[in-house]
Order: sequence, then structure tokens, then C-alpha cells
Amino acid sequence: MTWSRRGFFAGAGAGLATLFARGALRAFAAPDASTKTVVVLMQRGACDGLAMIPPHGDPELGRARPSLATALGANLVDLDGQFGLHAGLAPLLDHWTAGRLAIVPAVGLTGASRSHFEAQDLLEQGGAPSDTGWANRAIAHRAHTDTTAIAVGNSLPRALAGDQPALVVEQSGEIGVARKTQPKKRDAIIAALTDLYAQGDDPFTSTARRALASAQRIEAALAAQPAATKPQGPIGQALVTAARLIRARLGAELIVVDTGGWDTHTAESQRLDRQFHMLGDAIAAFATELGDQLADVTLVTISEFGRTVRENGTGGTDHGTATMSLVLGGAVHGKRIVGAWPGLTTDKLFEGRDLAITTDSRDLLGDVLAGTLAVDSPTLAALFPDHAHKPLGLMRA
Amino acid sequence: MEQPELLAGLAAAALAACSKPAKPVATPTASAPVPRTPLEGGATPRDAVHMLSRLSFGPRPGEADVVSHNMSGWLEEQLAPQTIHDPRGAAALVPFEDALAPSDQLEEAVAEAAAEDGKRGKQQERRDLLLDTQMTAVARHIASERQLFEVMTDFWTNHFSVSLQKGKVRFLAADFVERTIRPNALGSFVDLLKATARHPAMLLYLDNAESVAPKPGSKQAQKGRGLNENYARELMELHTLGVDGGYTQQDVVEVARVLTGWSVQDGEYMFRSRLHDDGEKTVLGTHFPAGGDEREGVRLLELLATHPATAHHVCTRLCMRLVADSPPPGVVTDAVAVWTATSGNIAQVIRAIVRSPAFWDNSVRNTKVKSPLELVASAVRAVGGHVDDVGLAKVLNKLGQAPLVAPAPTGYADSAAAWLSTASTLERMDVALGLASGKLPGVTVDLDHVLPLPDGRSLTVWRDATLATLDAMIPGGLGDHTRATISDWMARPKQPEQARTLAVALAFASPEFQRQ
Repeated sequence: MTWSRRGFFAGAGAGLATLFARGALRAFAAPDASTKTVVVLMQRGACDGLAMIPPHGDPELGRARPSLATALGANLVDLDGQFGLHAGLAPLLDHWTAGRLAIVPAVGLTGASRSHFEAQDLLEQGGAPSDTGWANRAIAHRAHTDTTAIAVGNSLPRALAGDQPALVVEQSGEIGVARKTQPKKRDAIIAALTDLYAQGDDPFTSTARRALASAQRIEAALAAQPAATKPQGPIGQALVTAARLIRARLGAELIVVDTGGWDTHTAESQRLDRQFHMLGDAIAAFATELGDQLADVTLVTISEFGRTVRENGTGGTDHGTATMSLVLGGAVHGKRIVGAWPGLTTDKLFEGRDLAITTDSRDLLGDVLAGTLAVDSPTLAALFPDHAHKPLGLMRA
Repeated sequence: MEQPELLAGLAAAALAACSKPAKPVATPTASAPVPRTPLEGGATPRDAVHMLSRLSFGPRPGEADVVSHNMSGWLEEQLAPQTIHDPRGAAALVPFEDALAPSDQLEEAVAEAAAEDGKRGKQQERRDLLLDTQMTAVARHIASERQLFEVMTDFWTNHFSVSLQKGKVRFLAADFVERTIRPNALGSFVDLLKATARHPAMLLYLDNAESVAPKPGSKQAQKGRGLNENYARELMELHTLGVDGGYTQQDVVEVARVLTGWSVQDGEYMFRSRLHDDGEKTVLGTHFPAGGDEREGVRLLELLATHPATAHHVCTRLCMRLVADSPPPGVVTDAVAVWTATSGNIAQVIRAIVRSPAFWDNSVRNTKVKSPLELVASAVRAVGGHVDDVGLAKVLNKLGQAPLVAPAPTGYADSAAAWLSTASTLERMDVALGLASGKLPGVTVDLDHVLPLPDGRSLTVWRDATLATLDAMIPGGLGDHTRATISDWMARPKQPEQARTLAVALAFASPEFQRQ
């Protein structure tokens, strides 16, 4: 052994170093059976709701997008005669039947532009310009630890930006420093860094101290929760990591999962076929990983806007307005279409081209937060300023 | 133009207003006046480190000692970058200079890649272009001898933020920096403002190219096109007056009307008279008569550039970058006075800031948390590293501060709060570990040269020498706790090479190196 453990527990870093001894990690990971969790799956790039949950009972659909509707064709999974699931989402049918899955058919952020970056920003800021994201403000309003809010992906999404601590865990579930270093050396590096940040209260030092501690805690907790499923692709990987974080009982109340690949201006049928198979497998795996714990969890999909009702000249669709959302979880009042269906005839379309919004994204998130985490109305008003929450009745009372 | 009388007057006023006593010198005599700042004499290497940490991307090995003997000379030379011979800066650009090709060629390259290899080819080519474009900035920031010029290039690129991730801006952003930012980075603010306002990257990024006042019955009117306020608002809020600069929503609309027709044709600026609003307008109380055409836009930019709110806003931003996150009011006042007297001469304003005693005050030294770009650039410079490929751009994308991809027109933050998340501190530790183990992507470091292995010396002597070298590399030096931690951990591994890796990693991950 090259590295000496001599002095590992000696000196100023003793207190912290002791906490990192493997045996002591269990103290951190004490199960807290009362924790409930909201998982927000961001579909960045504007997901075509009309392809995800086709309103096949509406005769306008085939007229507006003949080739796209034909491609969906017979593989579509009917839900209620009006709406169906894209074939790729077939694994979710059991959840629909069991009443755990609801659909919001025309959802969007009122007043957002058709610019990806503007609309994503505005949605993540909570509908009004702000330096902080709605999810960060959400944890500011409750007792929280470093693991109350976690982003799964490459970076901290705007929704979680702000004054409160929020962690980023990579899709693969990797977290922490020196991940490619061999274990013994890595232990030494982490112990050395822990010593380095053991003293001092300047902002960098205290953040670094917290970051190292949280990363260790999460890494150990995830190691104790190996994945039972292996869905393909980045969405599956991310949702399995989210499920493992929930299973690990770290007290995570808000998990934001970033997904991409939804901006389908061209060759939409092929591209969304891949995307929805990946999404369907991912959500099914997420539920499988959670098992009974799904009772304490709500997963909601959300996108910055939807896509044009009519297909364009390149086998795709352009930037639109309303999209659709899937809401899955034990507290969801499911097997229902929640929110009005505006219709697809030209006179019903927003600016003559887009599915009109009947449910504001803030009300969707508000219902999920209230129904899962018992977030009250004054708090919702702080998360989504200048917006009075209109309950959708999405969740069971 | 030099204005020594004015500066001397300001200096006297600032000295009178300064509450802190001037820095004492060891043996003051009746005939030698006490230097107001280390620029005038008595500078220590620590003073040089402070100046280099703010006016450059961090000192190179040994640089602080040299500069400490010629503080004022270094500053003056840096304020006139064209006088500095810069073969290193030129050489650093070479591997990435394809990204500076004309926009139509860049667009063609992506189209060809798409034709050859479909979507995969297109995405790969776009990705390569993005990283190469970012490296045209990063490579020069690190290698150039014209360090203040590079710092200001970064500052203005961020002040006039555009994004490689918005449509055709990806092909125009490099040209935007070359033709608008770099030629004016130390010049006149009004020239800089006008150059950015006419560049297609800005016109497309903030949608002014789409903003039109269609004549009744025209094709545009039939299509329902009209005014877009995006650029008008950001022009006042971010580029000139500042959010509290006293403009109203009506001013935003009027500015947008003035700038209708400022558009883009084939990747170049073009004024489209047909789409310009011919009516009269009033901006900030100033009347613009009907029929002003393109000239009234130029007049508007001059009005905004010379507005007192602009002087205050831009000088505050400059002082946040060069002095402190919350700059002492005195230094902003000094900067504003020179800005006003010189109609926004950027080099003169910077000189005034550096000559202000507040710039040198202990209360601002080592207090700014480095941004990710500053961290990475200063680390590579501190060990004399060489930039090889696009690896560093990937690192900076991961750290969240790669050039030209700021997520919003506000650009990246210049204060600590934005850069201190748990995720980013872990990434910073990995940068230090990467540097220490020779695995920082895109960088070659000859550690044996900078921090030689024992080579016959006793381990104790070697450890002390290594610690001393590291101490000199870290601006402000290592604190007692960091020094003790490094010392302790260096003694553990049997192999000196591993001990050195740990020592370098700890030094560059230390809280001391995260500040400047």
C-alpha cells in the first residue's frame, strides 16, 4: 500500500474525517419514511405534445399533419377513445389503468415567446424575470439540507439556481471528485481535500466543505442502492439515478431531470419514435425502481412550449405554444385527462397555428407541489409571482 | 489622448477624500513624498501580484518579481497593447484560427458535413466550430503578452454578450469579437457601442434584424411583422444606461422605432430604409425629427454612450471586475470623472481606476472569488502550461463559463455568488487534480521543470523547496492551514511524484487560489 493512513484522524480535520469513515455513513442515510418527492422532467427543445399523447379522436389531427398522423397510425395505444399514447409510451399503460397516470392536454406558460432560451428561462424563473429559479425558492421556504434539491444532468438548471444549496448528480449517478482515480488513491485525495477545507468560514471554503461532504454522502448512499433495471439512453439513465436517490432516503424533495432531443423541425416521426421509446422505458423503469415508494413520489414532464399543429415542409413541426404533460405518482388522481381540450380547428388555434394553452404551466407545477409536498398558497405565490394559483384537481385530496 | 493635468487634479481630490492613510514606506524623508500607491514607488512582489491578478489572467512564474520593479511601466505598456510584441499570443491562436474564417465559409463547412454525414456530421461540425471559436478567446487569454487587452476583451465580450447557440450567431460571433470588441477594447466606448450595434451577430442575437416598421400594404405588413423591443431594451438596460438608468417602457418603444431597419443581409449589416420608421420620436426627452433615417440611430447611440447614467453603470461594472464585487464608491467616482472628461476613453478610465488608492487597499485584495475562466486561465499560467487543443473549452463548458455561450443577454456574473455552488466547487477541485496529475484536458504542463523531483536532495529539503515554489505560485501566498495540510500530506506517499501530485492539487484547490 503506497498511501499511509497515518494521521488520518489526527489534527484539525478529525471531526469531519471521522464522519467520512465508511461505518459512520449510515448515520447520515437514516431512512426518513415521511419524505415525499417531486421529480420534474424537463423536455428541453419543445416537445411535440400532439405526438406524445395524440388526440386521435379529433379528426383535425390527420388533416393538419397527414404524414405525421399516418406514421403514428396503428401503433398508437388508446386511452379513452379521444387520446392515446405514442407507441413508445406503451409501458405506461398499466399506470394509466391503475389510476396513477394523468394527462394534461394543453399546457404552457402564458405569455412566453417561441424562443427556446427565453421560454425556458421564463419557465424556470417561475414566470417572471428573477435571479433565482422557482425550485430554489421552493426549498428556501422549507426546512432543507444539501440534499433537499438535486439536479440530475450536466449542470444546475436555472430552476434550481439561487441562494439555497442544490446538488448536481450526473445522469450516470456519478458524483464527487477524482472519479477516475483508483480507489485507494482517491480515498487519500478526498481525505486530503477534506483536511484542506476543515478550517475557515469564507464562502468558498464552507461551500467546498459542504460539497465534499454531500458528495460522499450521496455516493455512498447510491452505492447501497444498485439499479434493478437498465433502460437504454440518457433519459433512462437519469431517471434510474433519480429513483435510486429517492430510494436512498436522502431527504430529496425536488429532483430536476434535464432531457434533450425534442426540437424536431425535421424527420420528426423517426426522431420522436426513438425519443418516446426511450422516455416510455425510462419512466417505466423509474416506477419499477421505486416499487411501493412510488406512493410518495410525483413525476411531471414539462417543456418550454409545444409545436405547430400543422406539419412543416421538412417532415417536422416548428415552434408552437401549448404542449402536453404526463403526471405519474401515487398521489395523482389518474386515469384522467385533466384540463380542457381546446380543439384543433383553425379558429381554436392560438394565432391560427398553435395548440392553445388551457392550463398554465405554473398551475400544473403548483398542483403537483401542493399535492405532493403540501406547499401552501402563499408559498406558491412566491414561487410564481404575479400569478394566482388555479387548482386543477390533478392530485388526490 | 493623455490628460496629465486632469489626472493629477483627480488624484489630489481622491487623496483628500481617502479616509485610509497612504501606505507607509520604510524610510520616509522630508524630500521624498509618500507614494499614494505602489505605482509610484515602494512596490513589493505582493503589490505586483495584486495588480497582475486584476489586470491579467494571473501571474506567470517569476512575473510578479519582475513587474514589482516597474509597476507603472508595466501598466502603461499594457494600456498600449499594440506596442507589445506578442509572438506567443499569435502562436496560441494558430490551432483554432479556422474559426475566424468568414461566416459564409463556416456555414458552408457545416452544410458540407451535413451532406457527407447527415445529422451526425452536422452536429459534429457545429460542435467543433463552437469549441474552436471558444478557444480563439481562451488560448489568447492565457498565452498573450497583452494581458490587460485580453482581460478587457473578455470583459466587453461579456458586456455585449451574444451566444453561439442562437441560430446563425454561431457563424458570426467570432467575427463579432474580432471586428467590434478587440479593435475597441481599450479605445473609445462610443466607437465600441456603435460597432456592436451594427454587427450582424448582435442584430440577430437580440432580434433587431427582425424588428420592422412595415409600410401599410407591404409584404411585411401582410405577414404581420412589426416592432421587436428586444435589442432596444438590452441596449439601455445592459449595454449603456443600466437597469436603473431612468428610461421608461415608452423609451424602449421609441428606441426600437429609431433602430428599425438596422438589419442583416448575407451575413453583413444592412440598413433597410423601407422597413425604417420615418416618424418623429422622443428618447429620454431628446427629440428625433421625422425622416432621420439611419443617421438618427447613430445619433441615438451617441446620446446613450455619453449619458451620465451610462458612465456610472459601465464604470461600476468595470470596478466590479477590476477592484471588488462591491467596489468602494471612491474608485467608481474617480472612474466616472475620467470617463466624463474623456468621453468614455476606456484606457484612461482604467488608468484612473488603477491609480486610485482604493484599488490597492487591503480590504479589496484577495477578496474576489475567481470566475471559472479566471481560475482555469490563472492555474495554467501559474504553472507555465501550454494550451494544445479544445480540451479547455470543454472544461469551461462544464464549469459553466465558456466564452460566448452565456445563457442570457446579461452575460456571466462578475461576482462571487454566481460561482459558488457545491457542483462548481467539486469541479474546481477536479481542475486542480487534473493540473496536478497532468490530466487537465487540452493543457501540457512540464511539472518536472516547474517543481523538480528531489534528484538527490533530501526529502525534507525537497518538500520545503516545493512548498516554497507553490507558495510563490499562489497569488497572496498560502495560508497557514493550507501550508500545514500540504506539508502533512506530502509526507505520506512513498513516491515523491505522488507527493508532488497531492501538493499541487491541494495548492490549486486551496481557498487561497480560488480568490484574487
